[in-house]
Amino acid sequence: MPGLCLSDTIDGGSSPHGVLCDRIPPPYIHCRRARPRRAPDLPHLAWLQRARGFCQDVQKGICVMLDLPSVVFIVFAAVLVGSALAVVTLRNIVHAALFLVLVFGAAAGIYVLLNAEFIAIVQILVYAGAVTILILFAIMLTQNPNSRGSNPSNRQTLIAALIAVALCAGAVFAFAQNTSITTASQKAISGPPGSVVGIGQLLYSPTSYSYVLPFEIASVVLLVAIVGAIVIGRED
Amino acid sequence: MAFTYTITAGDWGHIAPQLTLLGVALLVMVIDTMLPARLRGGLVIIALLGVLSAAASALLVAQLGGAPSAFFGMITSDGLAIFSMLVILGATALALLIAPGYIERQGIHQQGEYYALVLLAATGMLLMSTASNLMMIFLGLELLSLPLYVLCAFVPGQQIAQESGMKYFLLSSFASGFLLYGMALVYGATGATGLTQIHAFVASHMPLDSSLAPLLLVGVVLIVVGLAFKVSAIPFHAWTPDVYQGAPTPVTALMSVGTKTAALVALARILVVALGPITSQWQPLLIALAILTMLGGNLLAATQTNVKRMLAYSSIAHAGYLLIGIAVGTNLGLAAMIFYLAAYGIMNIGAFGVVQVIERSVGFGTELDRFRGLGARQPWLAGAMTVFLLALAGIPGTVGFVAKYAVFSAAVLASHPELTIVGVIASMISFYYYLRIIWAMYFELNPEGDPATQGARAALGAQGTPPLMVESSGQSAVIAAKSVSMRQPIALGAMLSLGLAVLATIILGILPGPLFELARQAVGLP
Amino acid sequence: MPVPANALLFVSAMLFTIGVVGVLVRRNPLVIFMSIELMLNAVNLSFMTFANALHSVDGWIFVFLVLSVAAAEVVVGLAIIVSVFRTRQEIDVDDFNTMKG
Repeated sequence: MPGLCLSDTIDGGSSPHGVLCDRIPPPYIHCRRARPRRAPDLPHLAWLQRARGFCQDVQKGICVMLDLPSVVFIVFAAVLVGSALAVVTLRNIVHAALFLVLVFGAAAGIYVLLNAEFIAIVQILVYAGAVTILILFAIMLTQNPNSRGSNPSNRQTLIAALIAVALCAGAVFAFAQNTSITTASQKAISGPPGSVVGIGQLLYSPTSYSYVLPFEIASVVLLVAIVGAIVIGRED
Repeated sequence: MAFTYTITAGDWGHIAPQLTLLGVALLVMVIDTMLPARLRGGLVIIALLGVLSAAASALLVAQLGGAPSAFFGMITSDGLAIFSMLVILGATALALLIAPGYIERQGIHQQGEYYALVLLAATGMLLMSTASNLMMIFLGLELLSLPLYVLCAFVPGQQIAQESGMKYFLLSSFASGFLLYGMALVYGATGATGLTQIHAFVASHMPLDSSLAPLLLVGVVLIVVGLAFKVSAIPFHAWTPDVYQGAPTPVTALMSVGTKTAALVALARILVVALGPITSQWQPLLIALAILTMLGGNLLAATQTNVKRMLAYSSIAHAGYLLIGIAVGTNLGLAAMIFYLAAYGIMNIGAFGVVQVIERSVGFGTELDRFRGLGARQPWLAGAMTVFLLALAGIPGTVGFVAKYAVFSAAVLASHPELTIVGVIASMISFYYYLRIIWAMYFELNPEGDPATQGARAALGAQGTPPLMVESSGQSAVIAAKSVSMRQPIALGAMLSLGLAVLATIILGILPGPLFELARQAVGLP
Repeated sequence: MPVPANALLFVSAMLFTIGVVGVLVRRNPLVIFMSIELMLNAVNLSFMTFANALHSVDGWIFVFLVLSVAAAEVVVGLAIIVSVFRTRQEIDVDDFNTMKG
């Protein structure tokens, strides 16, 4: 996670930051305040030894809450789940829509944590920007100003509870057993692309492995949406 | 600068049918803006030509052979793909043929958009049935669903059509959510979205260890739930009757055949082809779905009084028979399923075509009462309906019987006789409601609920005097009765479509050999 | 991995379940629609987690596609919902019983 690694102390100022920082796995990003240690015997494993040394400090008890990604993740996850609950439970539909923005934003934050800055930005643009605005417009156009309680619920709560329990149980069953997702990728390309060029080539390069067909079909889907919205919206 | 193109012309050749349909859809929209209003009816001819040339290019792709997949394994053109494409294109052509008369009657002005959206939906169906990657399955599904949402809500100012569109949209998106979540879990378990890679992974990890199996199986269950919504299998059928009844009938006809074909072929590809090594794991789920759907669909259909709604429930029941083909998990089952799809496409679109002629406004005027005495009023129309209903019931001599026989025998050969037994019982239930319509058409000659007769009677009764005395008013009542006559004119296209469907139903019923041989070849059986 | 994959998957499962419950218990189509968006976001989160854990780009592209298709669905869906309202002035799904049987 090169972008977050701004430390100037971790390597004692002896090597260019970018190189070293790139090789430090993200959990140790909090090492930025670590005191420079004695130079190790194996220079190419220096980063590992430093990190490990610091982690022993973690186990001594002071640094757990300094683990920045975990803290950020917990905050985003809490916001995500809390706002999702608000979307589903709030009586006021405009408030629900606004909490939906929070859900989208928190999801984008988690995408940044997962090294997917491009998707995070698209998420903000498309979901938090376009989708929410459309939903707010739809609310504006459809709400009867005379009716209170614009967001009633129905009596399917029993079925809903059953399905929710089944889903949760299924997911817990699936994930809890899944101790390690370590399957090697079977694709020629691995890892999210880091640059705009990489993203572009991945999406529509005809000269290398790419997802050009899904990309083009997605554009046809958007075309259908345009035609459909015009057909429905036009009054004649 | 020299490029080495890894995507060649051959790749684009693989999707020639889809590209043709897409191109014609765009062409229809462009021509629509240039034609004067009175000539717009001719757009259906362009659309039909597009469908025919797509079918021709599908046959060409099959003839040329070449690599089995294109675009890095995104799409395939194997026998299953070609066969299902032809079924979908045939259904689209029949559904297009019955559209013009209906469009005229319902006062739909936006003909260009109507035909373009039908063609785009068909493009999505083709993509979904030829997809060999979870991504393409999802995109094909969305490309077929979005135009159908719009087409359901197409009739302007018709509340029932708009409700139908909204219900379809909400429930279909809900189902898409399940499908996608299932795909995510399968991807997480196998590390791939390509069906070949998934197959390779699962085959090389047999037996599944305890850290992998739950993820994969929960994913498969969610995918089955998502696609069961689309094929309207019970208990995921709740949207079907309302949407089918409320949508314009030509759209219902296309939806009932095309969506089912695309979704079932995709489901077959995922389960039988990609997840073949773990057949024993997903089989119970499919068997349960098939049994529930066959019995439930037929029982619910028997309680209906609106013929369009009854056909919606009957299409649910047929989804049950079709699911047998997947549930048995053999190639023979798949061959039987795609043969059944072809047969179902012909007879179901035919039946909806007759309903379309009878229907007055969207979703109304298709009550059983309106079929009373149809045999006397319009013998040809009633005859066609009889053929389709007998075929749907599976009477020998029609294609419906051959299809049912193929599916049931595949179940027996795969040692699942319970599916055959339930299927036969369900078919017997279905005789009741299919034959009830036929009975109403031929043997209930005095239509009590006939609005025309009632109108005439009321007009006469209001006079309170014998008809002879007030000859002029009596005549006007007769004229009024004629103007709301039960004798519907049949548009040329509908006549052609019904004629073709009747012929195909009977000919394929008597000589099913060649088509069934094609279906067997399509799934790679000798 | 800074965050354990399982934690992310649990969050996404919770989000998905909340969305499903929302679809089932709410009656306003707009809120049902928002709940569907929650489900799609949960799916995207799962895909991103798996893509990250598996070092595979498939999930990444899948998220991109789901995003664009969701945008298309919003356009069509909201157009239909608004047109229903224009005809009926009322959009409670439980009142939609013109067809029953």
